[in-house]
Amino acid sequence: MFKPVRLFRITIQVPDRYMSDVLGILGDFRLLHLINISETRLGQLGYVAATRAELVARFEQLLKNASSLLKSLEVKGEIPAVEHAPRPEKDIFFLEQEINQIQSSTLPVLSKIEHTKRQLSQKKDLIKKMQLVSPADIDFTRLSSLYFTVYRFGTLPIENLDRLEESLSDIHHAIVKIQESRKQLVVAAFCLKEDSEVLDRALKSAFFNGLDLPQDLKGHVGQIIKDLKDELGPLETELEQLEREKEELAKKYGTRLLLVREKAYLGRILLKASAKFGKIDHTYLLTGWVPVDSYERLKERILKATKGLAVVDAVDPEEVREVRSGIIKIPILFNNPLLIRPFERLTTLYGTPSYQEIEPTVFLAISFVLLFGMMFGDVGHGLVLFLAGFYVFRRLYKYIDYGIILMECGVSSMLFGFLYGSIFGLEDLFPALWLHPMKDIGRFMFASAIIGVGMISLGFVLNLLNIIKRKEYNKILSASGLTGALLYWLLAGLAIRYYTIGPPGPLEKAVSEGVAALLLFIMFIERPIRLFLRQKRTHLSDASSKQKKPSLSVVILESLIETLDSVLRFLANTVSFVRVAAFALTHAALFLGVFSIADMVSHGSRSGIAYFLTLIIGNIVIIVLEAMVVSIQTIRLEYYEFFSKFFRGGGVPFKPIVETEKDLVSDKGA
Amino acid sequence: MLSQPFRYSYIDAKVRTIYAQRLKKSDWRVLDSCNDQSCFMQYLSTTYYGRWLEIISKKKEGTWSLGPSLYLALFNDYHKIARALGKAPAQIFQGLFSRFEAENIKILLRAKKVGLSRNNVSHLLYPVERFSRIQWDKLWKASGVDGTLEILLSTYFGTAIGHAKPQLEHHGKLFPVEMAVEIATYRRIWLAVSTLSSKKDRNMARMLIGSFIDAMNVYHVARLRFIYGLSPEEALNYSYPGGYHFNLRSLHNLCRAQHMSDFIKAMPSEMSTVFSGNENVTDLQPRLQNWVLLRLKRAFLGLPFHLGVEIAWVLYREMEIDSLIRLYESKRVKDRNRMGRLIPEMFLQED
Repeated sequence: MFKPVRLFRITIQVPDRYMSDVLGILGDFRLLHLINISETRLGQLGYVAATRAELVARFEQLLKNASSLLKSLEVKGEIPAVEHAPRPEKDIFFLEQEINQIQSSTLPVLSKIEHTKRQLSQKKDLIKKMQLVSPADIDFTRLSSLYFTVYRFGTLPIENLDRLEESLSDIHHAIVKIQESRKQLVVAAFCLKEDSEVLDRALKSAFFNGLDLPQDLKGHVGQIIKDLKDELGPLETELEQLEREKEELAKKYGTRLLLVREKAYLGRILLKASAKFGKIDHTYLLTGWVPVDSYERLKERILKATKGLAVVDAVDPEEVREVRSGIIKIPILFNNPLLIRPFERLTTLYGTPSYQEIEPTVFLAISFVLLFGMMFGDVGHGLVLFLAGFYVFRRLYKYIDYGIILMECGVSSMLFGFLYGSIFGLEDLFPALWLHPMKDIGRFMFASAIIGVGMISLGFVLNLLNIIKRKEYNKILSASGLTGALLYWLLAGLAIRYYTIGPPGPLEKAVSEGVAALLLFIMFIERPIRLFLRQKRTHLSDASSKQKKPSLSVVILESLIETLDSVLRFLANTVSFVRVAAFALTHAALFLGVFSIADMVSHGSRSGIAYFLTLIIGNIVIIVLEAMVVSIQTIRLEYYEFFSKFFRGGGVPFKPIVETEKDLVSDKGA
Repeated sequence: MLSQPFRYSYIDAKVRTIYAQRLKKSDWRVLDSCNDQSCFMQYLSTTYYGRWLEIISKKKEGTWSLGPSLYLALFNDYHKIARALGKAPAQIFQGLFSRFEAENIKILLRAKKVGLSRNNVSHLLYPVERFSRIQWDKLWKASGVDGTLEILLSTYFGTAIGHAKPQLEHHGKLFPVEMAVEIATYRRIWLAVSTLSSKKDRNMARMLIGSFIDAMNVYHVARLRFIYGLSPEEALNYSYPGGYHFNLRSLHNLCRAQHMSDFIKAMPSEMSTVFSGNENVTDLQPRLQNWVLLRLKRAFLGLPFHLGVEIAWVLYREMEIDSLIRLYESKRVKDRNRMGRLIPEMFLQED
């Protein structure tokens, strides 16, 4: 929990005839972070990337077909878990066979549905067109018998009518207005057959849109509409029947199709991952990182599948030359329990921890929830946040992490709500178990500062542990190391004593001054001494070094400024935590505002719709606004006051060969 | 009547101050005498346009690299004037400004059709973004012509595009959409003129903008008939709404002309001086602009405090910029026989 999962660097050599099986095992296994062979020394030994474009294309086609069928059949339901990842080279044949079989059973029904829908749409479209010309009650039988006259039905922008009339003034014509519809005129245009070209050119340039009525229309418009409507009934019945058949097919093939799509997707991922493998003659080589605990299991499965012909080696990361020289970084695989895991997102937003430092997510999670609850303490509001989080957790799978964070923050807010005795801003329903923020501001601010001291102290401790882990012992006496921590604790202790007991006695004062002066002196001289020793070492090892050395006066000046800066930062960082109290007070003050407005709108009666509506709207505004502000402030405290003390980052995240189910879903969704 | 001075004193004073900074006869003569574009730019930078030219000073020179800077000056005037006026008069300037938006839309659609990016055609675009309400970035990001039209449907060009879209879908040609956008722009301007509450403003706007539209229609119809070979009925339907000397009948007579000589005969008497022996369509624009400029000049004479001053100024500046660009381009192609053909006579006649 406090450190990432321990990893081994593994190298696997596999004869090409077993590669498909090994790929399947890697797909099942998932916890392998592949390294591109060309980025390692092995890449220089003649191993070249192995890509199988033709097979990838087959999987992509399979994926496309499966997705298209799922969409057409409107399959809904849980995505089935794939127990064994596909062996791409073998399974592609079975998967293609499966999809072909499903296609042959479903496509006839699907095409019939499409055809029927098209027919329905055409008829409905024609009805709409006929309704446009219906006020004229035209007899199409008579119109179709016209020999010397041509006619056009269509719509025209109203403002273009005068121009159209004028432009046709040189020919015999008639523009008959049928009706006005949405700033368009429905018109019938007539002219002599010999002038039809002029008419068409004029209509086109006047932005006339023809209705494109079928040539074979017979009878009056009303009759045509009635006939078309009569034809709709049987078509709709047929469509309903076909839709039922489709539902049956969806039930029958849905799960199989989802499984095919899942396998196709996994197969494609595995094949794409194989671009990171190397190949020489008949041997594939792949390398990557696996958790130490899983190594033996993976090795056993691969050896079993390859009948002992594969070679699987593992080395400790520190023995890998590329790691020691910094060419390759050890990826970070987080190892946190379910309730802490969502906060990994916030950690990685700041930076990915390196393998040599403490993984800070657990501290972040606990302090985040605590600070949020303190600033947003209200039983009612906490409950709302919890329910919102629960909804996200259950319904929006893609945002499940945020759902958990919301629920945790909601619980924390509720707990602090009980401590403050507040539910939806009402502070007289039950007694406060601790204090009312608005009534005990001084004590509340002191408590916030104490939390600040606690978090900054934790930051110092974690930094000391990181210094030891990284073996950077020369930093132990620096302002961010032990000396700084001791000075901070001394100053904090004095401040707490002053606030709780009273001013320190003469002896305490003298001892404190002496210790503080000593610590400050150490902080001040630590850097110049360190630099001096380094220069001496460099001088001994490389006498010809031309690197410019800073003068002693510059180093002393820098050290003095840094020491003063460190002391000021201690103070600023601690005071910064007073914002926790400030935002809790803001939360309570907003309630006062809402209640005052509600009183005003109800003219002091504290009843009626307006009063309760104002309270509801006010509470919604407070929840949305404050939740946002408090989250931002909490993140700010975490990042700037806490993480900055010990967290360096710069690590590489562990990327499994196949992403988690959740990522699969989001990827396909996208 | 009494409210006119209150309404226009500030903006009139401002416009007349800018009008005083217009290019004079002497400026045009120096610009014409320049042998190359470098000399042209050096002199132009000493005029009112100097500060606008700074914007492109580091960019590669070319005809259209000059255009954006100069048009930026014009659009800035549009913006200032529209801001200082009431809602109804401001709509006229918004309408006049939307002609440049329409031009950019045409270029955008053509670029989308042939798969060119914004960078490929940036030298052809007017710098309207700062002043436009259209989301140009979104339009350029839209996929293909269809995606672009989908976004444009929600703008004030939407109705016109909606009318022309079926033709685009049927024939696959952008021309109807382009014409619809242009016509909609002029209709918008003419409608704004008719909604002016003051009679004096309305009459002045009708005279000035009407004359401008007349000139545009003469040039437009001549191009449609004699360059693109469209029929009389198409030329009439594609002509711009509005006008002062033309009505539908007289415009139709112009469209019916089979030859340039018939065309000249069909011109209204007020415009008979435009051709004066030169029947070349390509040289028509400066002469039509000269004819409009003579009318615009009237707005600055007589009683002040009317909308005509502001309208005359923006149209005057537009023609000044057009002429500058034509002259600048002639320096690139070393066209020695340019003066009198490229810029309206009026610029050379008075100081």
